Amino acid sequence: MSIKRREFIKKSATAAAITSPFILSSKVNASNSLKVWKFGGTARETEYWPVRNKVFSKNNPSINLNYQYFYGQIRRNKIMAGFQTKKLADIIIAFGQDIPEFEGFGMIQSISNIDKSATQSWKNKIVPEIWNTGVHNNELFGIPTYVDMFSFITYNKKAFEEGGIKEPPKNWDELREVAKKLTKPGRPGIAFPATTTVLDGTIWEGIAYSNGGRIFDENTKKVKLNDSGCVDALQLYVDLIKDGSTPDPGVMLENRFAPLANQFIGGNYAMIMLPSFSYVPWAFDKRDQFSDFLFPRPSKVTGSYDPVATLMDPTACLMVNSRSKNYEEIMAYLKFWTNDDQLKFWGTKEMARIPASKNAWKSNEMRDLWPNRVNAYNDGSLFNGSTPAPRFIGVTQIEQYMRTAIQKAVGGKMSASDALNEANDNAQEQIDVLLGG
Amino acid sequence: MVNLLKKKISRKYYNYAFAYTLIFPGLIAVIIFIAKPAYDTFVLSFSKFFFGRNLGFIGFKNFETIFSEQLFITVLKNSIIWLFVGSLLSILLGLFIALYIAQENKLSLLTRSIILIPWILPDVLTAITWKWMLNSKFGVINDILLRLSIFENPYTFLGDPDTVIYTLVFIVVWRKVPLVALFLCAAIRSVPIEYYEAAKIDGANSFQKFIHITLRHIAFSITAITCIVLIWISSEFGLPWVATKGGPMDSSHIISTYIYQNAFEHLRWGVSSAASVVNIIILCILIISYLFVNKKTFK
Repeated sequence: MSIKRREFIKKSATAAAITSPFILSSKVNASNSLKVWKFGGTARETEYWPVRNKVFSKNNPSINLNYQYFYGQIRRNKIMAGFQTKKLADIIIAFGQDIPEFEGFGMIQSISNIDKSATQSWKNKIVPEIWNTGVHNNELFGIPTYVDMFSFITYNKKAFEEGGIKEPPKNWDELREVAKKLTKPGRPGIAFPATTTVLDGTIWEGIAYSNGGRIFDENTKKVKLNDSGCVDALQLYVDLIKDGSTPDPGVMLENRFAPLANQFIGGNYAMIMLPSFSYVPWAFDKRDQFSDFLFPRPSKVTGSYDPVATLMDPTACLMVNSRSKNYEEIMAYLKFWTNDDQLKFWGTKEMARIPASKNAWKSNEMRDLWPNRVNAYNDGSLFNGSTPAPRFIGVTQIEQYMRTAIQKAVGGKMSASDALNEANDNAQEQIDVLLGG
Repeated sequence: MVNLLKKKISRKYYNYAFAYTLIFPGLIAVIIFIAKPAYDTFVLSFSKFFFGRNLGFIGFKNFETIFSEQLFITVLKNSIIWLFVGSLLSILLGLFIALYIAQENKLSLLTRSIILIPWILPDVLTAITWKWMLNSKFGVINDILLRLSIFENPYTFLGDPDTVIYTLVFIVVWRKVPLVALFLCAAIRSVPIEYYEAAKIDGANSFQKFIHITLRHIAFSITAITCIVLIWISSEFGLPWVATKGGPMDSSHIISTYIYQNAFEHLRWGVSSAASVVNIIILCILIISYLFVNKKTFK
């Protein structure tokens, strides 16, 4: 078939002329449009947001909602690229741990500055400790819908019965004993993930912070990875390995929390270190087989700081683009998602999460699903001493060195203190450059 | 006569104009999407650019920073293994497979059509699939090796810092080999049959035919595909990042993952750009040296 030049040019020009109005029109946002980006979440959450968004659109027919979901691990680059190219969504639903860096980058704006009275009314609905996970420099930058808490131990009830374990261990020494007792050929007593995945590191941070450790002192701007609170927490990992209570370290260096949890569900380990979502994402229908308890404290706290009960991170925190000015639409969306009709989903329909709504804790459904947690909430012990997961400018750099140090100690390449000393020096260099600039 | 000349000239200009019109969009795309970003990266590598703030020209400071980091030295060592072993194995295996699929038989025809499967799979999918297959607990590869009594215990292919980089090299070779094989297969099949017939009459054996006829004729193609493979493997990011994120203990951190991590996780765009410039320089030196050594193949 021969192509005539004149005809080719004519046809190409005609095609361009026909398609260009459509391309151009797609770039023009309607004045009452609202763009929302959601990052990460469980399968049920991924289905839930669009379903409720339909209700929002029905209730707000004048708002043209453009909702998009993205994989959680790409959130930082997606958000940054969006901001640089001025294509960032009006509302981003991402991790609360990113708030200080996003604010430092000038990407998000204070929600309390948009509408103080609305902010106050939302504050009354949310558990105060969870509310604080969205607060930075005394201003609200993110509205948490739930939190994940660190760190917990999930256990196999049958293994506990077989081992004659009646009560969860109360301190680290007891934990080592229980792990040893539960270990049998081909079924280690305990496993913990030690890959470079952020969440694997946060599980360890939960243990270190409960021992009075910190990874960074914001007052002195000093990295504190080699504080004894952190060193002893890492030593606990090493001791568990030395006790022969864990799988081969290579397994824990190879498998992040999700595959390791799947192996636990499959009966490969008696206990596993996980966040508060525990076994739920993988074995929702096997509640009778598994249970969990808060990671035990050390017999004697060795860190230089106050020990914390748990670390909390809201991984679906609603934040507002600093460049967005369509406040009416933004506030309508925030108001919708801070309503109990939406918030009651967490803790019950998605039972993997710790709900942010005070009313969710009062529901019968929540009481049936999580009786221990509801009791702990009611007597004030669940959130007492809980604090947001480490969050400051430079946290990603420090955590990267921290995770490598964990791997070096777990893999037996270095002692816990040497690995953390090395990480501390390297991270401090980075922080000095960062904060010096 | 004059009219004919005029017509010829106008036809010639018309052809030029038409050719440039067709090239123009491509040229603009290259300027916008390749030249301009490359220029920006170069400028950024000499700037202090942090958290979206350009803090000005700082000379070679970013380069000093990366070379003073122990991590970058580890990254360079890993990258050398990644690049050299990966490229060498891709070419050698590709050539070996090409020799087979260049033959005319039903099995080689079938191989030719299915060999592209690793190539057409997306990077992320490839990495996740291999990650699962290599898993020490539920991976099919460990299962087979244990059943065949090759291993006594499961091996953590992606969890052993001493060998993880070689595991990744194996995966990247698996991925790159098909196209190398097809490329070289095309070159082998273009060698005139008369040469082989003449060699046969002269009593040459298969090895001699390969060395003196095949290899000589496809030398340029090998040079070209080696350059392409070097570029492909050096720019490979998705596969190592998804498979190991540079771990464990940074033992599979290569230059592309280092660039990504600095740019998007640590927001050190100046440092990340400096690493990109180092990467380009290393690659240019490698390719120019390789082309210089193999300049005979151009004749």
